[in-house]
Amino acid sequence: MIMNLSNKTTSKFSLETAADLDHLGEIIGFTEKTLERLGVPDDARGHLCLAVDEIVTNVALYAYKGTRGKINVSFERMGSKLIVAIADSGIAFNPLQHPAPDTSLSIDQRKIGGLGIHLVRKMTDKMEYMRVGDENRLILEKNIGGKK
Amino acid sequence: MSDSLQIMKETRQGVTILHVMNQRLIEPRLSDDLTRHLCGLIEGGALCLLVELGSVARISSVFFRSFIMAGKKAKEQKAKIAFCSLQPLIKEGFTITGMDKLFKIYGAEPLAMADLAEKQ
Repeated sequence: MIMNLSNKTTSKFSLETAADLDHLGEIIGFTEKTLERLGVPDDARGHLCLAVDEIVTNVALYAYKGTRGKINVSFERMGSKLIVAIADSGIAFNPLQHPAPDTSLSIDQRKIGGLGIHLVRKMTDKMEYMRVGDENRLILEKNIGGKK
Repeated sequence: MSDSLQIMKETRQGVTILHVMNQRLIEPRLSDDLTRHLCGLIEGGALCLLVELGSVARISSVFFRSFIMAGKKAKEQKAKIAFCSLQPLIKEGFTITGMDKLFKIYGAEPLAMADLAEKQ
């Protein structure tokens, strides 16, 4: 694990660790502590923790297809916004192209998966994806109130 | 982080009540355990399951997948699954994912029991 708690003037915190389910708890723990430290209100913290959990779980399950890889999660407060950046070097995957599930279907018709990205979309205010070289970079933005 | 699914089970007035004690339901391995647990109870003849989630502060989408799988099994076996005592964030997740349209969601457990026991 490489943890870089960088200087307070930019309030940027990042964690790089193995992208597997064994490290999910470590990432979620880091996320909770960092959001608290950045003064993110309780409700927004819950939304962001859930969003990070969904993305990290996706990366752990699918990005490296059984091989080992890393994931980097960083948090930065910019006035009234909280920016989360998640990067991995797994196979290219753009969650923005993932179709939204039809949540109005009956239990017979409902598909089993596809809800994670939908939850992330609903629990954040903006999502951006870039493939840079061999890296997936996902940026999540959440309005958290407070100073602009 | 919890390594196991923590559930207390009781049966009252024909209703099988599952008290989920984990604070976080986020690990995919635990969702597989929950699916097996719920489907096993339905296959074993439970006709009415009430899942009490009052201790759960966070839940990820893999667990909604478990609920959908169990819901399909319940329909097959003419059983029903309901939920109660959802914390605000959990309730929001149920609404966003449409779980509230697939399952009956109650407030406090006594309200759920009053309704479900009457129908048994």
